[in-house]
Amino acid sequence: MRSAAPGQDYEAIVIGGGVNGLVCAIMLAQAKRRVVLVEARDRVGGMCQTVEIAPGYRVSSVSHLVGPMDADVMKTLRLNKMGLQFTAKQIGAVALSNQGQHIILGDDLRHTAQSLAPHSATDAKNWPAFETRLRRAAQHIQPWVHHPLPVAVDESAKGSFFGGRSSSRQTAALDSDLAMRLDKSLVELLDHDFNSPLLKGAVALDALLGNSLSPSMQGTAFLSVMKRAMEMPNSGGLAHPQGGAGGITSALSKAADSVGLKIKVNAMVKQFLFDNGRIAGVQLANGETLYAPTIVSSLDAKHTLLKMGGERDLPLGLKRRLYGYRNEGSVAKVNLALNGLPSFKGLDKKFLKDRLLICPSMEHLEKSFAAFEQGAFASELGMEIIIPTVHDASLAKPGHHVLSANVMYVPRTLSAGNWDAAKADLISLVGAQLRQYAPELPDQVVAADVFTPADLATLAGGAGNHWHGGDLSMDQLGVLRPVAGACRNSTPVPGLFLCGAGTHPCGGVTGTNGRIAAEVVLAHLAGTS
Amino acid sequence: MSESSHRSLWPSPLHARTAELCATNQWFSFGGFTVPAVYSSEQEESEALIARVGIFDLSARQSYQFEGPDAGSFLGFVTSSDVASLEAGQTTRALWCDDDGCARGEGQVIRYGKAQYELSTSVRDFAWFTDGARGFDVKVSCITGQRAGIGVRGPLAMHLLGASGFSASQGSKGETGAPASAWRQAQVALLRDATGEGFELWCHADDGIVVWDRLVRMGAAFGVSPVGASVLEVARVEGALPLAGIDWLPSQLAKSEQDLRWPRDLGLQPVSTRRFNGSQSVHRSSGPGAYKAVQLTSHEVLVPGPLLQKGAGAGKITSSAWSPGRERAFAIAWLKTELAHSGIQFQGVGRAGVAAASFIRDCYL
Repeated sequence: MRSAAPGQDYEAIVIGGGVNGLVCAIMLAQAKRRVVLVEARDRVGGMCQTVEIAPGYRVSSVSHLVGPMDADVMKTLRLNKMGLQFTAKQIGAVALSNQGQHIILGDDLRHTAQSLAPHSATDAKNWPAFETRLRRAAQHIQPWVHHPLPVAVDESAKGSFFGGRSSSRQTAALDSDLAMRLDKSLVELLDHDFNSPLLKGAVALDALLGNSLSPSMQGTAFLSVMKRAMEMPNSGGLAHPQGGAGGITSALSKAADSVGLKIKVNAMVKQFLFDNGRIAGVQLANGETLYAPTIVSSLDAKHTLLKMGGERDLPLGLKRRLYGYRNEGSVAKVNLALNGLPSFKGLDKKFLKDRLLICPSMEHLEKSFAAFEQGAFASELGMEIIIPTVHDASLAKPGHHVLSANVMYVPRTLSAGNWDAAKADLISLVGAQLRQYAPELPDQVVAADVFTPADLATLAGGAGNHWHGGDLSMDQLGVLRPVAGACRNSTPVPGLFLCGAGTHPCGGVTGTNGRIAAEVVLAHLAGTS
Repeated sequence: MSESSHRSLWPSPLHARTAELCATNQWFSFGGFTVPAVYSSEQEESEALIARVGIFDLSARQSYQFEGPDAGSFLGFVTSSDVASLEAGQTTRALWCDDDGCARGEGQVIRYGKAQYELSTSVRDFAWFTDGARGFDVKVSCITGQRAGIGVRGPLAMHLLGASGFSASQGSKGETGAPASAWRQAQVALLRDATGEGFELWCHADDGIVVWDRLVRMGAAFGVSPVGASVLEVARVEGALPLAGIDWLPSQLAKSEQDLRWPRDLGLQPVSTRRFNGSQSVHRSSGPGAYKAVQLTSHEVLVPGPLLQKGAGAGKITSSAWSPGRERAFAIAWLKTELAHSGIQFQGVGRAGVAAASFIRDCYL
């Protein structure tokens, strides 16, 4: 099918110019496939953009850290050569206390234990063993979050947590006591070992970030391991790209240019075209049609399979599962322009390079999650804050700073009122909460901006606003991701593939999904040509 | 009926008449409704079916209604039958499968109009149809209890229908039935039943009594007798009709892979060019399965349970009944495909120990 039929313009069309769509399309173009990428908006980048919130203040619109970029993608796409630099790697975390007794959650276990001592002697004693066990479990999962799903759990996979490329030879066996608790909730996991509400709140917030799940929900304990697996120090940990998240997009754009990838912007796909049950092309909102026997969608699976004209031919059971797939985002991004470096009560300035977590307890998370479910936001919200200008001074005028906060849980649609009016409320609420930790901070604000989950959906061309493309709950992982019957990037529609964050392994800004999808699609194209 | 919503069992739309006729006061619950188990005596009722004509209440079957421009294309996609090619008033057997091609249920599809179909089935699977209908312009509603259904079976059935004003001759064309006829302003659909030997009349619940009364009055000359659930069960086993929930488990209720049944196991192999839900797997598995549903016969009633051949396991008996008319017992069983030949003797458990049984035919839906 490589010799295109009349009117068959391309071998493959990639839909969506976010990180995964770009990575996938570039890899297809690298393999000399005739491929075009179509993007609904006027520029590529999706959630990885750097925007100017006020003259002289630039900040990542959505993703403020990456996590970490897939090493294979960095290498294959030569992203370093394309100008992608990280101004900070292995960024640690601090659980902020409004009493100034912060908990340092870094690599150094003794350091954390010391900072825990004023909160609870038991916690200080338990932390090093707890964290070590989680990291060890994460080592088991790490191969799984970086590679395609194993085809079958075979003999060679014995001993590994999820089958396939086992790391059990290098690491000790998964500790069974912990494994027993990973399908439990974060509340159960953390209450078992710790007393300090602040520690538990911050650890839970960190694990849940981006997911519309509450800490009491079953299976969330696993997220604490999953997060560590994704951010293993040997892969660089969480990193800050130079120039903000837009730095990634500009490097990917250069990589796209270097392989001659054709990109069409302002090209929103309205529906798929089919030929006898097979995918045959796309029709754009402007009426233009593009033909290709293979289509790779980085939009979420629900949108791709249910909203683009293929719903009626889907197997009924699969359709039912797709409707049940949970991919409603719950994170708002609040960006503040500051006329000086903020100062937090009792926090050494050297920790301003870390992620600052605001979440006094797991009960706070539960309360705000309950409000989220009702289409509102609570008066106290969980937050992950970074000050990007500490890592990259070029983002603001000399001496000035920007603050970037991921705020949980915030609904896409408000049950009362609308976001135009509510944005100011959310900003002032965040300001009021920050005042408890940094009394002068609200007075330093010269401009503020917020990206609600509704804005995120717009960024994604109306399709999906979830950080990870769908909750990372156990019923939506592995062969169940996004749903059973549409895993391993393929769908029941011949020729239609998925490459977005909602595919295996998980979301975040890594490019892994796009790379794995490209491998699948290239194998498919090799088989059909 | 809302004032009696506390009920867990409902009277059928024909209850007023069937209760009058049910001399034994023996009742049977089926699909959430009560129907007479035995009206007068099993002997009398089976004689009516064999020698004259019997009528019975079918209203307890699940009825799902599909209305809208996409009703035909949706049902055609969900079930293994080409329902869109039916004429108004025609009917066909239909089986529906899960995504893997395992049977979820079977029933009868009736086309009432250009964009109106009904499915009547003994399997409760309404949510499967409502969930599946998303993306189709079709309204799916459960109208169970809003339809009265009357079965008419026996050598004089066609005569009774003719005498009562239903043109039964048109219903004799193979699997499909006659067009709906307007009769005393009541829309009555006349269909062939699953055995192909009897008929079914379906109408609005409120018209059920009128139709029933007409059949009873006109049927007096033919020796009509109402037939209860007991004798109908015997007729089902004798007719080699496997029943979902008794002889096979719908895949959504299956507890293990061994319970899963493919259309071919139930004696139904859809046309290989037809695309429907699960069709890829169905067509892939077109060869014979390890087991299939068959009908056996024996001299005494076999207890549902293991079936042996020369002391080795050969299958499983799922239904059995004594046929007073033919003076022998029949059974429906899952039998190893390679053993499904006449001439092979099997052993089952009878009332007084081991009893011999032999193969008659494959079951079919």
